[in-house]
Formats: sequence, structure tokens, C-alpha cells
Amino acid sequence: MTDHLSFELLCDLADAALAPAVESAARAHLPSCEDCASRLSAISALAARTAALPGEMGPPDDLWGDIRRELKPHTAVGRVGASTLRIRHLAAAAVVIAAGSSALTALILRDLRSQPATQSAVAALPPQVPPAELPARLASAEHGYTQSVATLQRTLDERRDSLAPSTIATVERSLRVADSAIAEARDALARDPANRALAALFASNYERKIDLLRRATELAPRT
Amino acid sequence: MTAVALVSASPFAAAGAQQKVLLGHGTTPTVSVRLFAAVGDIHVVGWDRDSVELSGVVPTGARVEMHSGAPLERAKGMKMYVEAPAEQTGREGKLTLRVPRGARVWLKTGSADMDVTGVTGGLDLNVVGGSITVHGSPKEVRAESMDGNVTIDGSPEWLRAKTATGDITLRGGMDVGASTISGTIRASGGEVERAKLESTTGTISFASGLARNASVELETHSGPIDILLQSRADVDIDAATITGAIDNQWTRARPVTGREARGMTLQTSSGMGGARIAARSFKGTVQIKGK
Repeated sequence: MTDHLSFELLCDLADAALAPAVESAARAHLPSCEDCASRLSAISALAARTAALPGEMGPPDDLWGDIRRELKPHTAVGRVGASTLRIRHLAAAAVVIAAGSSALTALILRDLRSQPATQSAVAALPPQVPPAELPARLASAEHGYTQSVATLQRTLDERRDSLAPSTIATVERSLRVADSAIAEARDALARDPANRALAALFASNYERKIDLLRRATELAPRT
Repeated sequence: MTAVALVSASPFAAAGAQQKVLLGHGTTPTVSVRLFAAVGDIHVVGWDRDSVELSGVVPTGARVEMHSGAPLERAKGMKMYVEAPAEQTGREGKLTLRVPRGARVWLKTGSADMDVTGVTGGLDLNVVGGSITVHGSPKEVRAESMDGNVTIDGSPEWLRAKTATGDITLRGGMDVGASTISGTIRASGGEVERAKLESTTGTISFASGLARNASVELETHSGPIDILLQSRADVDIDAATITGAIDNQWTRARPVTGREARGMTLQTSSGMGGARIAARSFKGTVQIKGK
């Protein structure tokens, strides 16, 4: 190997995400290339520092306080005041969740940009093989999505009584459809984590679910 | 400047269960109007007057309010509430809201069917169980329904439509976004510059014209994607599925089957190229053909 290793390859090497043959070739290059060895060392150090960061990073305290108050059951707040606050806080929550979702999509797709649009490794595995866990970066992104889902689901549960039964039925039916699609895409992605198109579909399924929950929570107060 | 407010029992009310409503106020031509109304039908009409008028019938005992800031000045913003009595379902009554054509209208309701005509400003429409129909070409449209259908019969510059189970029908639009869980999305007519249509299980049918260098994304988990192109369309197509099939009847290019005979990809062009359509599906079939 005469050329330097690409940044993407070094990242995957640090993440232990390379196929054995590729990893062996990459590691064989390192002793003779101080530049690549140094870059790998820096990437590994960065990964270690990143891993040491808190698992969650909340929005600024004042904004998070608003959101927390909004998530509590409404009590003796006047109608107009409650409505105004609700809109403001939901908007704030929506901004946080939307920003989070976009960041998560970017995270999912970040390291996959150099891959071809589809790789059918999904099908290459025997169907009886149980799905493996998602690679770290995808698992981390999924964690972010599930956090957003949990927050919105709690809000929706608190306001459930203000929704018509038919609306609840529609939302729950749609959530089941979304969950089924997420599970299917997740299973395939666990078997083929480098598939960019699959990662995008996985992320989109989550984002549609989050958007559905967001809309349902916004409907709740006055329906 | 005049402000009118009238709420009275209707002599024509069925079983004495409804009352008349007539509210009005002078406004600026681009007034922002917010209406929350728990009624059965709402018709919004853009008219050539600088005033807003809300008329119709609502259930007896409904709370009707209008707020327009300083009463002697032309309002730049108005808020109106029509809230049904607690024992009512909010599915009775019928209202017509007349606004200046250039108004921006925010309208939210539970189960009403909304119909909008002649507004060229902006629309933000939100309904739980009713349908939304927009005629004409507002500058901006955001339309969201849970299980009702959304139909946009015009060509807004900016359009976003969302449902959970309802169908979305678009007959134009330049910058278009549509998303549904299990409803069908049909886009036809007009000439899009940018479009993103996505579903989880619903069918996506794209048959709109393409502006030069248009960008179209079609994405589904398991619904079929049907792409209908005009003859001689200048377009590059990039389609990929994870396990679904691709049926290309548009050009002679054949899709490439993935390993283990599952999943397909297709890259093909026609004419001079330029516009781009990307279709992504997990297991739905992608079909491309001419009109």
C-alpha cells in the first residue's frame, strides 16, 4: 500500500468497522507510514474523548425548563394563557426535536457518503441468522431518536383524554405501522450497516414517527 | 371603519340546535387571520375587499369570539374562536370565512371539512379528522390532517402536506413536500422545481411535469412508487430498493439485481438530462413509465 489511508478508512479502522481483510491491509500500512499512524492515533484519541462525554446533552437551562413545565399536567392555568404557553413551549420542543432529528440523520449518513447507494449484503446473509446489534454510530443515532419518541409519547399520554377515541385509534394504528417499518429497516441495517440508502430509509421511518407524535401532541389540547 | 358582531338564534336551525354567526372587521390587505372553529364545515374565500367576515351557523350555546386589536383601526391581525358546548361533538355547524386575497390564514379544527378558494397569501391548515381542499395558488400552503384527505388543486410556490392515513392529492406546486404514513400520495400537473414525497406504506404516484434542473425525491418503506414521465422529458433517474423490484418501461436500461437476487438499482437518463428523480424503497416496487 503506497498511498495514504483515507480519512473514512481511518475512522472505520478506529471504530473496528472494517472487514478483516481490509483491516489487515490497513494495519500493515501503518508501521511504514508515520503520517497515517499519527492520524489514526488522533482519531482514536478523539473517539475516546467523545465516549467520555455525557450520554445526553440537554438544551439551554431556560429552554429546558420551559419544556419540562410544559410536559407537566396542566392545572389551573387560564385558557388563553395556557394556549399561548402551550404553543410557545411546543414550538420550543419542536425546534429541539427537529434539530436533534436532523443532526441524527446527518450522523447516520456521515460515514456512509462514500459508499455506493445500495449494497445488498442484507440479502447475502442467511435469513436464519439473528440480527446483530447496530454499530456504535447507528446505535447512538437510534438512541437519540428513541429519546425524542419517548418525550413526545409521554406528552401524548398525558393529553390522551383530550383526544377523540377515533383520533387515538388512528394515531396508534399509524404508530404500529411506523414501528413495524422501523423494526424491519433496523434488522436489515444491522446486517448491512454500510448501506447508505438503507440508513436513510431507517432514519426517515423514525422521523415520520416523530413527526406523527409531534402532530398528535399538538392536536391534543383542543380536540 | 366598521366592526360587526352578531350571534343570534337561527329561525332555520334544525331542531332549534343552531345559531347564526356574523362577525366582521376592516383589515389590511395582508392581514393575518387565526381561526379555531369546532364546527362541521369551514369554507374560506378570498375576496377583493380589505375586510374579514365570518358568517354561518354554529351549535346553540357555542362560544364565539373575535379579537382584532384596536377596534377603530384596520386590523393587521385577527383571532377568532368558535368553540362548541361541552356536550357537542363539534361536528355541527357551517362557517364561511371571507378574507382579503392576500391574507395569511391559520385555521385549526377537529373534524371539519375545510375548503379554501381564492386566497393568494398563505395558508396554514390543520384538521384532525376532516378533509382539506385548496383551490387556487396561494404563495404558501401547509396542510395537515390525521385521517382526512388533503387535496391541493392549484400551484402554490411552497407546499407542505402531511397526513397519517389520509390521501394526499397534489395538482401542482413548485416546491412540494408531502408525507404520510399509510395514505396515498398522488402528484400530477404543474411543473415542480423541487419535490419530496414520502410514505411508510402508502402508494406514491408522481406524474407532475419537471422544471429544468428539478430535483425530486420519492421515498417509501413498503408502498409502491409509480413514476409517470412525459415523453421527451429531460431527466436523470436514480432508483434503488433494498428488497423490492424495479420495473423500467421508460428507457431500455435494465435495473441491476443485487446479490442473492434481492434489491435492485437503476440509473438511467432520457433527453438532455438535467432534472433528477431519486426513488428509494425498502420493499415496495418502483415502476417507471411514460404517460
